[in-house]
Amino acid sequence: MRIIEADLNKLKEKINLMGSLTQDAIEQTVKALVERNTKLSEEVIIADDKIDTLENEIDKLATDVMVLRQPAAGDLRFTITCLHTAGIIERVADHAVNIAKHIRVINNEPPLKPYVDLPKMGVITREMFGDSLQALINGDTNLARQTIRRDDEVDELFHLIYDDLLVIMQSDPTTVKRGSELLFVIKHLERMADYSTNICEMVIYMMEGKVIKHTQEAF
Amino acid sequence: MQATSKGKMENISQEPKPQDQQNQPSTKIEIEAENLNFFYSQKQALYSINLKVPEKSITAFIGPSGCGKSTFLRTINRMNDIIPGTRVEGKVLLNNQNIYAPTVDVVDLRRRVGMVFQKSTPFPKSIFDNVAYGIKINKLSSSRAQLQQMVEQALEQAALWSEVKDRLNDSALALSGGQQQRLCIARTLAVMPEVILMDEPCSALDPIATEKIEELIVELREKYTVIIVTHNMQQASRVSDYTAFFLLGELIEFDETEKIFTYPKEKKTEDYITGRFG
Repeated sequence: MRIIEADLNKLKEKINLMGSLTQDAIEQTVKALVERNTKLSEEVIIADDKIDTLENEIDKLATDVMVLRQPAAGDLRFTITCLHTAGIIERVADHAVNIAKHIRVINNEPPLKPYVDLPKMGVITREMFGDSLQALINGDTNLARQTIRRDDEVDELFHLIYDDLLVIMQSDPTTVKRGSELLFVIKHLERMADYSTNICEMVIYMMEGKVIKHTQEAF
Repeated sequence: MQATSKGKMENISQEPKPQDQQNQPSTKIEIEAENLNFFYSQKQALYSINLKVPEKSITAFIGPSGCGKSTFLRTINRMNDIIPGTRVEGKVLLNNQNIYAPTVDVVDLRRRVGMVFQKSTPFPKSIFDNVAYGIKINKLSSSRAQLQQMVEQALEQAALWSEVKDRLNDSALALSGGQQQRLCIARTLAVMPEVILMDEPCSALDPIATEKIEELIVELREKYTVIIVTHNMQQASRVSDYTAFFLLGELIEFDETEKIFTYPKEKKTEDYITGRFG
């Protein structure tokens, strides 16, 4: 086996673990929101330390691979992808933590209205992240491209919920606090979906050597 | 294989995208191999090589031992002619002139296409005489003053002048390995070549001497077309604008160095540069 292979395998394992933990964080935070389960949201906050630690470990390992193994071609693109993606995944996890913190406030007040679109947005965001992670681990550019296209669904739901919340808050000022918290929540979900598309862009770079970030293909 | 390589070469001749944007190689083709086959007696060493090297660029030839990269390098100034039983088919064009045409003066060709070898080969003479030798036999100077001026210029270009200007009459054999290699480069430059071929010029040098030679190679690109054979892939990626990968006598891929090292088109190239080969 090539010397670099063991390091690349380790990088892949760590990215996979970091991604899985973040996927759990998204799932739990959406569940905590929909089921008004504050205890579950606290668990998301606590679990984030492990994700942060993994980001540092991946950064160090990827840097070591660059300096000590001097990767080229596919190995180089994989290492660069891990380095970038670890940072992206960490930010996704931070958004999950931020939602969890908003849940603390939201759950201290009566429900604003039965959630319909919000769980839908949560599910699509979680699926997008899960698919982007699958695409990354399997080098699946078809799945990456499909996932990028789903971002429009999340954006649409964001605007729909945003408009709903504005109407509710305008009609009843006592809902402004809860409404504002929910505005933050949907913004966090929308950003998570954006980050999933960024991961997919890195998958396309990794597999095809093409940078599609900030190009038409990314939209 | 040749068809794909040819396509890439045509792209290069139209739109070169070098590593150093401030010092772009020309789009003009200086060296071109056309369906080049080479034989050591019955054994074929090169198979239908098609390659276009732009002028004032640095091209690295990479590939495992025995892949034909040095053989191909030596076809560019007909150094293989001195090996008995060798045979060439096809063409090597230097500025559109076939160097294997019967009318070509091989001595003049080797002046125009200079060569630096793996092991430095200073003559057992003074530093000055080493550089002056080629100028004298090619009758390139008309006076002692001009000779001195040309020697100084060559040593300057080879980044050696400041280190040897006070001891030009000392034996060249007293210089360090890195200095001897730069002296050989100065000797090559002294006869005003158009192309410089380098066959693993740093393989016997320490990292500091290697860095000096590499800096020199990059500087030489301003005036010369440089082709370097190297086993050191980091060296190829550091210094060259274009890289050609050879395997078993075939040119597998030729493209901009940045592309070869980040996203090669051919699986064989990827396998070689990532160490999966074999």
